Amino acid sequence: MKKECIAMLLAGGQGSRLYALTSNVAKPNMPFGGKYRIIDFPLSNCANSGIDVVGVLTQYRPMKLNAYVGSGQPWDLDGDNGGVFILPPYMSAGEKGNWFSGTANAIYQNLDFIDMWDPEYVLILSGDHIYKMDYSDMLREHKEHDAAATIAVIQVSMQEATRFGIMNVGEDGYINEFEEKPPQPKSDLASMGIYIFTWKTLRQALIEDNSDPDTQFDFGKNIIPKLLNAGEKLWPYRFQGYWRDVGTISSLWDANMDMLTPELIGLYDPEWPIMSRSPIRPPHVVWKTADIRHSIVTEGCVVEGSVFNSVLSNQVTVKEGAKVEYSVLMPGAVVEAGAEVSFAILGENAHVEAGAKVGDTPDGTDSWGVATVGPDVTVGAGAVVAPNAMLYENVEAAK
Amino acid sequence: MNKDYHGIIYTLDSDSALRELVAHRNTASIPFGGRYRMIDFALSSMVNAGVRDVGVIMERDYQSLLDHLSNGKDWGLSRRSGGLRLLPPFGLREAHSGSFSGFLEALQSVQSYIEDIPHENIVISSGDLLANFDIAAAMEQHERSGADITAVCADAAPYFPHHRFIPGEDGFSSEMVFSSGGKGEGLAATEVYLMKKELLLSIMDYCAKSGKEHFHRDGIAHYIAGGGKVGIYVHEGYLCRVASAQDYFEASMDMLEPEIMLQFFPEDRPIRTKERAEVSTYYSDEAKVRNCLVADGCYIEGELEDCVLFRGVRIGKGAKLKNCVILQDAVVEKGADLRCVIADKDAVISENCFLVGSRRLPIIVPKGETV
Repeated sequence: MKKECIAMLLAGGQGSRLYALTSNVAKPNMPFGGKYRIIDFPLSNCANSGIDVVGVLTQYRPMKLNAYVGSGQPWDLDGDNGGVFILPPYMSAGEKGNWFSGTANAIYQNLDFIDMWDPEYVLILSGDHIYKMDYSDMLREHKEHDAAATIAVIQVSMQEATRFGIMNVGEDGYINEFEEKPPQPKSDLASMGIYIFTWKTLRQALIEDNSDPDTQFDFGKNIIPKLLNAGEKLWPYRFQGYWRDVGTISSLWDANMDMLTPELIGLYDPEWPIMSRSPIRPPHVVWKTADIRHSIVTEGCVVEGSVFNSVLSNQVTVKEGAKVEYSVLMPGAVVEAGAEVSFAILGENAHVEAGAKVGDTPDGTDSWGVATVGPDVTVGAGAVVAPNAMLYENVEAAK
Repeated sequence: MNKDYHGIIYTLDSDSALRELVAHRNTASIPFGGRYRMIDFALSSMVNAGVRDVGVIMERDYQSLLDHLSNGKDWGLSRRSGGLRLLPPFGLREAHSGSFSGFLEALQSVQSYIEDIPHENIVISSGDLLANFDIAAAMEQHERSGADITAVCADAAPYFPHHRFIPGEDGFSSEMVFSSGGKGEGLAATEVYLMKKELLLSIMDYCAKSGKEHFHRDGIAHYIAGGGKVGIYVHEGYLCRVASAQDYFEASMDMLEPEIMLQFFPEDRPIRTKERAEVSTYYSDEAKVRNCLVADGCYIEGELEDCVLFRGVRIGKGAKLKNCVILQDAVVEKGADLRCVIADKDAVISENCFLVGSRRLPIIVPKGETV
């Protein structure tokens, strides 16, 4: 079945810099912004851009992610002439199966899947960014500039540029150099990890890369430089708008706080809805003792306490007298009576018992940070969890 | 899984006491509880009991019901074989008005559909009841008791005319009586029944042949009089039949009682409804909210007390709402002051508008209108 362009979403990473939060689930499955999981953003962008075949490459702890993506129905990706396909590593006849050993290798191992659709172009996405992008506009530029690859780039400050893969652009507007985390950046155009390739060219490059003994099987480190060296045309697609990497605790917390300024990313835009699979729960209730300000709250929540500057995912409970501020509460988290949660992230079904205290306001020291309670972890009654803590296991109640 | 039951939900003509709420829709598709339509309760009760095939008999003004139910996907009823069947009211005769004189006529209009049902048993419910029935428990009692028919009843005293079942010594109903409203002997019928398909057809047949018009009063009562075993299953939870705008308003306020709310929406018997892509609800710095039920997608900058907000509602800065029900996508602009107001879907209450209704006579702002 011929498709002009299909998407391949790299969702196999662990997101190890999220520590306890991803000890059981893949990063793309991380709850975000109240209603969503990170993977909702690329999936919704695909659906809104008219891309109706999405291969989701999974590897690390994929069970919950597989269940979440399911048939693709919430994103209208369940058509019978395309849809969303979960692509795990697999065994082949006569040889041992292989894990995906890099981003490029993951695509290489799925050549057959891509060939099935006989596409002209392939869009490569990752599952760890929060943004809204019209990929069809990027594809238009790709075709207009007759590029072998188009790389979405965003302008960052020169200071930040040292943390990104930086694209240097020649006078003709095409990319002439790629530098990974340059100490002395020559440009402020950071790669967003979103690529459109002309499939014929990428296919050949992947096959060659896979037999290169020195390769790391990585798009940024190997495929892009290889195409540059071969003299292929690489076009930068300049993206303007909200885009955040949520690969660390502080960036995940920051991006969640951004959701309290809804116009930043424009979540209310009916033209570009971000869709998600929601559990079947009633509206949230705000009981008589509650006080909610500058916060977002999702269906199934029960709020009796105070909630300020916070993000509440579905089915969160904040009991009477509890205080939650500047925090991110993932689905099913419970804050019992009189407990205080401040500058913290509570993982799914985390439980803060009565009178416990998690996190604290910034004190200006370098050791301060957002406190994180891992999924299913209980903080016992009256216990104190210091700022910057990372809890993998239960904390006993204070005596 | 109770695979051997087929569900039938009927939606009858809407009571004019529901005023503007039924101007464009019938009772079964009135929005309720922040994100639902009335029919979601009957439909979810059946689906939660494992019923996988449901026919919905529709009356006039069913456009909004069609939009809502669509192919049944959101209730897990969109399937290759079986699932949801929508039955418009024109099967009976060509010149039919689209309105039924009662439940019996509604059933008769889909007689051939009922005859073709492959399941042995039927569960019937009306589409305008606010109740989260544990139909699985009723099925269990139905089979264990050996009853021919099990009537779901409640220890309630509706103010309007209804039927009551009087339990006999053997636990089966000894008599069915008509009450013109208020307290009475026995238990109030919810008009939810479980029975064999063949029995339903034979009761319909009896009524047709003897010129009777009332399924309950004639059909069921006659069956009891003839010695038939009609069991009584008592529904313990919340129950309300919404027959007027005042009922609607009071039932909405009932959802703001924590005990009612929590037992009405138990985690193991969720009420399903049409999904839409929504964001979480945003509360601004100025928001002040007490005792409210709020769906997703709202943007709240005002003060709310004892209110129900549906999906996508916007409340402007300085707006004050007390005892209000604001339906989906309605907008209350800044500075508006509302008490006992029901704002229907897409309504707009303009800046600084002052509207005061009463609990007995709530103000209804019709769908899409601007005040």
